[in-house]
Order: sequence, then structure tokens, then C-alpha cells
Amino acid sequence: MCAKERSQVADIDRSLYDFTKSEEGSERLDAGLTPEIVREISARKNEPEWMLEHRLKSLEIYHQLPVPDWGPSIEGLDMDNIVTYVKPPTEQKSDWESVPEDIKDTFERLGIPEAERAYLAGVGAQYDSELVYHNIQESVSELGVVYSGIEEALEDPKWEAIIREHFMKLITPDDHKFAALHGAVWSGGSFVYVPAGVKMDFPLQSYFRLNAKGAGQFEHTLIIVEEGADLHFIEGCSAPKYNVANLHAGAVELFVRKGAKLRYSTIENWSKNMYNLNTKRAVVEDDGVIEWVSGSFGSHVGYLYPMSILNGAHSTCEFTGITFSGAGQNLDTGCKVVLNAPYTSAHVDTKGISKGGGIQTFRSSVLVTEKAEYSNVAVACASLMLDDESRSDTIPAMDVRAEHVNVGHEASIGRIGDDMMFYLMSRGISEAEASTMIVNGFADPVSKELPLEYAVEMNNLIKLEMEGAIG
Amino acid sequence: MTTQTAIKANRMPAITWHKFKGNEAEIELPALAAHDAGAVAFTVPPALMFMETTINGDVALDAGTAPVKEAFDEALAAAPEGLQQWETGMGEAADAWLDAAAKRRLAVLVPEGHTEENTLVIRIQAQDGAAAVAAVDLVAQAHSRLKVALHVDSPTAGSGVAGSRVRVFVGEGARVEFASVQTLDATWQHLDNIGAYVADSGRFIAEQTVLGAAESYTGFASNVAGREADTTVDTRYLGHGANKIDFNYVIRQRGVQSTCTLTANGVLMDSSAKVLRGTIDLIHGAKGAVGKENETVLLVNEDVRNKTIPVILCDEDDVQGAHGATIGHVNPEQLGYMKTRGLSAEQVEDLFAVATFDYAASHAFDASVRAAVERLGTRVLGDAYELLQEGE
Amino acid sequence: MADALLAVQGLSASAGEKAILHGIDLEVNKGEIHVLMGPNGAGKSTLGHVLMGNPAFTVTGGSIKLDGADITEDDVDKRSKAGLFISFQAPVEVPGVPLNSFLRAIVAQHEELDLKGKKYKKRVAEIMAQLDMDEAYLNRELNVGFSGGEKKKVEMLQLLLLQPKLAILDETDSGLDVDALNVVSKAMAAYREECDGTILIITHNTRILEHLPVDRTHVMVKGKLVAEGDASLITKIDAEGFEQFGHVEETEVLRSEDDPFGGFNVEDVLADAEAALREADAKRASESGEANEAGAAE
Repeated sequence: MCAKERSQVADIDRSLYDFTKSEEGSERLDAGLTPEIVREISARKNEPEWMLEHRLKSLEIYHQLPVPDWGPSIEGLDMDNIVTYVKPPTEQKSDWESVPEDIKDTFERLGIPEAERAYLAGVGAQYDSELVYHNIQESVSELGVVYSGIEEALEDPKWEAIIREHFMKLITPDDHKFAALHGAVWSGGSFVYVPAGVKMDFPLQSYFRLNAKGAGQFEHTLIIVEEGADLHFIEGCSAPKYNVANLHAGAVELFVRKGAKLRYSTIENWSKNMYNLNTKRAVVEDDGVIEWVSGSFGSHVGYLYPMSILNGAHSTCEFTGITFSGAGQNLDTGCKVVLNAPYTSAHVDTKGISKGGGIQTFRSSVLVTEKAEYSNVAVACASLMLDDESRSDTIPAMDVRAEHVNVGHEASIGRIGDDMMFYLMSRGISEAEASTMIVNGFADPVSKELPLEYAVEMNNLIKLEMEGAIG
Repeated sequence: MTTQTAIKANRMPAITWHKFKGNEAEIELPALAAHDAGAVAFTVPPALMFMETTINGDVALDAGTAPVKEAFDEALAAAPEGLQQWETGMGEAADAWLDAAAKRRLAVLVPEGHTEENTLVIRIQAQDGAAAVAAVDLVAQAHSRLKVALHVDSPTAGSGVAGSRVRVFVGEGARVEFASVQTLDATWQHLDNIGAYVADSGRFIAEQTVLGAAESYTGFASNVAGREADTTVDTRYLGHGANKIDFNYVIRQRGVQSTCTLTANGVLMDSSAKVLRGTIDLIHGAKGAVGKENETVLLVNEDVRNKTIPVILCDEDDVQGAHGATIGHVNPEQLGYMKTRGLSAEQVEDLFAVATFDYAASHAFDASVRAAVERLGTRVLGDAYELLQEGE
Repeated sequence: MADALLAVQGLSASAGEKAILHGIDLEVNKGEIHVLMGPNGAGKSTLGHVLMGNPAFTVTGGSIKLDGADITEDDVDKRSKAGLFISFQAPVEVPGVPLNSFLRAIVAQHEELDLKGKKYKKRVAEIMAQLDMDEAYLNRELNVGFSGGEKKKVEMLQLLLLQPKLAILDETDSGLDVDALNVVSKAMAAYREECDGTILIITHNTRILEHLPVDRTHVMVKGKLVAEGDASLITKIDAEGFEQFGHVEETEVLRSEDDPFGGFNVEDVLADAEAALREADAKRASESGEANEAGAAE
């Protein structure tokens, strides 16, 4: 039986994410970051003048802002060597058959078309700097739901006005250095508009694949969920591993209107040469709900703290996250919550695992403003150390400025208990299986929140990471 | 004599977002005169070796000079690589400022095996326009016991700085209990800086009570270096008026099976503001170490501001680290219980404020500390507090 | 019985969706001792808490009168001031609040006691001596690190200090601890002697009732009062148990809410692992079973 189990572990296709396709036919701009390159990206997109201005201003801000000194080192990232724009050899399609074979094969291996047929209301697929596929089910678009490339939406004057009103208003270029970088060179990403009252039964999914070596991906996702509407959005990402640094500095801006609900799920599995410096932010109006489900498994260095701004009374935020940091990884993840209206509540539950010399940091900030009377916050984070080479830090910060509130925080760090291992092994389970079992149990609250397919993917990722973890 | 200056202090070892404005404190210090003889008083129990410096710089009694210095040098030599200097909670700049301001110094050696529990008393009385600072070095040699009472008070009106810098070496199997109470009126600045080193099976137990001052800064670092060494801190504070309270705790757990417990309980009233940074650093090699940290903050006014940053750094797998924080109202279970005895929610909150003074008064080292607590209690809580004390 | 000290009529209550008490009628006259008995989970403690106004329960019908005044809608602290008292099985710990500060604060809320300053101090010392308590307890934080017996003493100290009109003594578990039992007995005697106290004692263990002149005994099963009698009923229950009052099924005991933080729970993981093991065992069993069957078929 053991042998059988082992072979199951080995059966996981290691090449699932780590395969490279030829870059033939792709157009690469020069590496580095200059106004000329920014102008060229803009010119290729035929975008409105205000957007070019926004890009150039962002670039200026980028050069002014300091590199963060509180997180993992990003010294290995030399912006002069990063190619900010790589156009794949195709235009955006709405049927997989028209997508070039290599690219289609990529997404097929990642299971995207299959998932689309099975349970998604719409799919967007980005390859390097541009979307190569975007499609939404007719029944959904008939309800007035818009799901398209953000540049595509910019071409329609109606949506251009709305995008202009929202684009980088939540994440402003002066927020931090990499938000400014994003503002300068962003490319691709999705625009979603769910009209008032529309409750979507099936999720939308965008998948981001970075194939080009030494390149950066800077997609922008803008989602507006109108009053009383309901959306589940899934984001996936991966890249093959190269021996040079790649960079991801996307931005996600979410607007959740009165009584609306948005669930935003991410399984991040960038390759381990990736610098993932991503920014995500949601603003929620009265009675609105934002739910984040966030799994971080990949990247060499990660900075990721989805932020929820609860601006409306009775709005809520739920954040469920897991970070698994293995050899060569330094993942600094967590979340930020701002409670800025009465009767708001936030519930944060995160798990961190570190092994093989990996560094895992949970970092959070909770701000309860003067306006947030009668609000509640509960933060729980647990970290599991799988060996004594690894590191796990917990750096939560709370700032409370209201009186009638309850803010609770609990955290724990430790390793798998000897008694637990002994118990399982006394039942004939091998050490490796037992620890995988325990780690899966540890991660369970997160996988429970994921759609089944993603929960399976996450469990596979954990198995992969756990292989060789023991003795 | 000090010159006007601004120093950065109480910086936490692993910082976070600068926008949070909690990584460190910036202290604006005015130009101050040197304190005179009355500001700092030491009472050293018999049988301890000590060296005391008078206000003129004369060494009053130097019988203990050589052994105390030697003991410190030994301790430093024994410290692991990387420990270049004695780490204190407020950091180098503040430590240097306090060191320069301290006109009276005391170094005390508790000889090996000395277990008589007489208390070493350090009294600091704020002086108008001056920096009243004591510098104290304590060495508790192997298997000895030492109790220390530190009282920072302002018996007369005025403004200025009052505080101390204290370094403690806790030898093998030794036990040092350090209780400090600060009862400054709302015109003073308070700076207390502690750095401790705890050897095998040593215990450093600190109780810190911060009740007053316009601005109060407490830095506390303990190098829990020895096997089965322990540091336990119990902090109580009350914020009132517009005062600012700033704590920085840094516990380095280096020792195998070392333990640490940080507990803080506070009440914030009026428009007071408080920051508490608590870092437990579980250093590689500290197998079997356990570090715990817990803070409860009761907010009783809408204008208060509380920042809590409970950090655990962990570079070892065979450890247990835990922290918890509860900020806001009295927990429902406690409130429910107290209501069954006739107290309204508001009265329960008031009770917590009164209780902070009560606790400090009933645990006061002596009558003068108790009188100072009651004086401040009456000043802060008004006649209601004085009436409560009637007949006691 | 217009002059009953406690008059409960048709009282029903629920916790969330779950109805726990059903149409309770109960009268207790001044100076009497009543016993409320019943099996575990019958709702006895709940009745005590509902009488005291615990917000965890919702009154869904009926009324509670104390000394002629309807207190059904009153907040907990108001009921206390009206003269109602309840003792807790496991009183909460309150770090930061010394026992002395707490006692002084509650005495201040019961003005009729007229215990200020020296009088207060004297009275507390008196009671502590009665209960064999060291006065050093006064400087300790309320219940923090107290043993079960010490906590019980603190509860009884408050009973004797406040001298309520009616004391509800929830002693469901006290029968298990001889020391606690003695403290409660001593306190009850003093309470009756000093202010002709009225007691409703909740228990399912009869040891605590020895030497106590019980006036009425009430039996609760599944949230209803099913029998009432004089002290002899206690002997009958001792001999025959609660089954004589019909089918006794333990109803679900209300639990405090699950830990809202839900950290890494070893038990959960072990439970999951157990489930996985069972599954694996079942699979193995069925596989070997199939093999056996195949063998048997040969």
C-alpha cells in the first residue's frame, strides 16, 4: 500500500507548470525603464491620451520612490534587465481554435479550456504582456455582465469613461514604488462589470502565463460589482522557471457597491525566479462583502497584502490565506484591512508553512478609524515550521482609534507535534505521509474555501512541496 | 546639561510599513539642566557590594568597583558572537542620552549564593527644568536573589525628564525581580531603558507600571541567553488626558528551553495614545524555547488611540511561539459577570481605571510609592478616587 | 400568594433558535429554601441565568416578579440592585481588577448597604474571617489563578456582602468538591442567620442539602418543572433517581461559542487523520475481504 501511495505522489506531473515554449514570433521591447519605452507601449495600444500621461507621470514617481526597506531583499531584481513588454504572436481570440498552437497547448496543459467548459462563466487568458483569449458565456453577457480585456473596454467610450473614473484611483501610483512601476508599464488584464442585482452562478477566471525569459508582467484587473450583485472571480498564474529574474507587478482594483458581494480567489504559483510584487485592493460600500481566498506557493520573492477598505456601514471582509515557502523562497504575505464605517467587520485567517530554508512572513495591518464604531476584527494566523533551516516571522500591526470595538488577534508558531507524528506512525503511516497529512489538515481551512478543482490543485502543490521534505 | 535634540528610540527589530507610523518613536527633548543631589536616591541592602557615584562625580564607596566591573566584563565575554554590546530596549541613541544625563550611578554586585531578599530601592524625583536620570548596573551572581524597586515620581510641579537606564546581568540560577512604578504628573517626560542578560536557569522578572507623564517611553530588552533561562514581564499602564505612552519590548531567546512571557494590561481614557511593540525573537538554536505574549487594552473613550504590534520572529522549528491581543471593550463574559453584581457597562469601565491605581497602590513597595500612586489617582480620577480610599 | 418574594409565571426561554425552558411556574416566599433538581442538561442552570437576565437567553414568554416588581425586562445590573444574586460555577477571571476594588465598586452600587469607608473594610474583614479567607486575597486580581475552592469563597463573600433578597446558588458541580461544599454550607447558614435570606439552590447532588431545612423541592426535566414537593422528595430522588419523572434524555448543554480565532487545532487535525485512517482501514478491509472472497470461491 505504501508503494502505491508513493507512486501516486510521483505521478504528479512536475512539468505541469514548468515548461517553456519558444518565443519565436513574439515582439520584445528593449529591457529597462525609460520614457521612450513607456511611450512605445502606449503607442502600440492606441490608447487615450490621458493614459499616456498617466504612464509618464507614474514613471516619474517610480524613480522618486524608495525601494522598500522592511521586506525581503529585491537586490536580485535589476530593472535595467527586465523586458517590460513582450507581445505574443497573436491578437486576442474568443475561440481556442484560433489561438496559435503553442499558446493553446500551454493553456490546455494548465487545464483552462477544460475548466471553462466545466464550470466557468467566462475565461480570460493572458500570455506575457497581452491577452490571447477572452470569452464570456452568452447567457451571462445577456445579463449585461462585461468581461473583457481592459484595453478592449477602453475602446468603447462608455467603458472608457468608467475606467478612467476608477483606474488606479484605489491603488494610486504614489502608493509605493511598484504601484508606480505598474502605472507606467501596465499591459493586459481584465475589466469586469457586473450590473446591479446580477448574481452570477458561475465564476469568471483570468489566467496569467508569463513565458518570456527575463520579462515582466503587469496586468491590470478592474472589477466593479454593482449594487446587490454577486461575483466570484478566480485568478491563476504560473510561469516556467528561468535562471534570470522575472517580475510580476500587477494591480487589482475591486469596487464592491452597496449590498454586493465579491469573492476573489487566487492560486499563485509563479516559478521560483519570480519577483512577485503585486498589489490588490478592494473598496466596499454599505452592506457589501469582500472575500479573499489567497494561496501563495510560487515566486522567489513575494510581497502580497490584499487590502480591504470597508467604507460602508455593515460591510465585511473575510480573508483566508495560505503561504508555503520552500527552498529559495522568501514570501512576505498577509493583508491590510481598513475599517472606516460603523458596524463593519473583518475576519482574517491565515496559515504559513516554511521548509527547506524557505522564509515565510505574515505581515498585516488593521486600521480601525474613528468612523468605525461598533466594529469587530478577528485576526488569526498560524505558522508551521517543517525544519530548523527555515524561518517564519509574524509581524502584525493594529491601529485602533474607535471606542466601541473589539479587535482580537491570535497567532502561533511551532512545528508538527511529536505526539501527533507518533500517533499517526503508530498506525502504520510513514513519516512522509504523516507529515503530508498533517500539513494538509493545517491547510484545510483554506482549501475548504476554494472551488473543488483548485482545492485539488492546492493539495497537489502541497504534496509536491512536501516531497523530500522529510529526512 | 543637555541640549535640545530629537532622538529616535524604541525601534522594533523587524520593522513594517512606514505608513503605519509605528516602527519607532521620535522623542523631542528640550535643553535641560543637570539634576542635583536630591533627584536620585539609592538604598542598597546590606551585604551587597556596590559602587556609588555622587553628584560631584566622587565615588562614594568603591569597595565593589572592581568586582562589579569584572562581573560585567565576564558577562559580555560570555555573550555569544554577534552580541557586540548590551542591547537595550530603547536603542543606542536614547541609551547614550540617558547615560550622559545620569549624574548619579550605581553598580551593585550580589555575591554568589546571596539569597537574602532585601530590596534595592532606586528613587528618581523629577526636577523642574532638569533631566533626573539614574544609571544603574546590576550583577546577580550565580544562585543569588535580588529584588529591585524603582520609583519615578514628580513630587513638585515643573517639567523636564525623569527616568533611568538599567543594565542587569542575571547569573546562572539567579533570580532578579524588578518592579518599577512611574507616577509622574502630566507635565513630564519619562524615559526608562532596560537591558538584561539572563544566563542558564536564571530568571528576570519585571513588573512595570506606567501611570502618568505627558510622554512615557519604556524600552526593555532581554537577552534570554542561557539554557532554561526565563524572562517574565508584566506591564500595566493607564493612559489619561492627552498623554502618550510608548513601549518597546525585545526579547531575544537564544537559550535552549528558554522561556518568555510578556503580559500587558492597559486602560486608555480621554484622548491618550499608546504604542506597544513586543518582539519575541526565537533565535536559531533555541531548541525547546517557548515565547508567549499577550496584551489586553481597554478603550474607554472614542478619542483614544492604540497601536499594538506583537511580533514573533522564528528561526527555529522546535519552539512554541504565541501571541494574542484583545483591544476594545471589556470581554462579554467579564462584563456579564460584573453586571450580575450590580455594575453597569460604564461602571465596569470606570472600575478598570480605578483598579489600575488600586493595584499599583496595594502592590506598592512602600508607603511613599503608595502615597504617590494615590496622589496621581486623585489627580486623574478626581475626588471619586479619593473618596474610595477613605478609611483604608 | 401575592406576597411571594419570587413569582415566576409561564416563563419560557430559548438560546438562539433552541427553546430551553417551557412554561415555568415557580414561587418562592421570603425566608424559604427551595431546591431545584434535575438531571444534567435539564435546563436548571439556564433557569437561574434567565432569572438573572443573562443576555445569552431570550425570554419568549411569561414573567418574573421580584418582591412584587416585574423585572422580566430589566437589565442584569438592575436586577442585582433589586436584590437578586446568582453564584457562578466557574466565575470568570478578571486580570487588572483587584478583588478589593471590585468589592468596593459593587458595594457602592448597593447604597442601601451603607458600607462606605471604614464600615466597608470592617464588614469585609468580618466575612473573610467567617469564610476562613486570608485578607491578602483582597489585593489579588479577581479570580485570577484562584483554585475552585477559592473562587467559591469569593462568590460566597459577595453573597454575604450584598445580602440580596434572593440568592440563586448554582451548585450543580459543587457536590464533587468537599471544600467547596463546606464553604457553601457555611455561607448559606450565615446568610440565613444574618438577614433571613431566601435561597434557590440548583443542584443534582443531594449531599449539599444535608442539614439544610428545605422548604420546597422542584424537579426539572427537559426544561419543564415536572414535580414539586417538600424535603421528602429529595430522599425519594436519592433512592429512585430522576427516571420516575418519565423519560430522561440529556438535552444539549449550551456551550460558549467556539473559539472565534480557530487557530491550528491539533484535535481537528487528529480527527481528520482519524477519519482518513478509518477510510484507509475500511479500504484495506474491503480489499482483503475481496481477496478472501476470491480465495473462498476457489
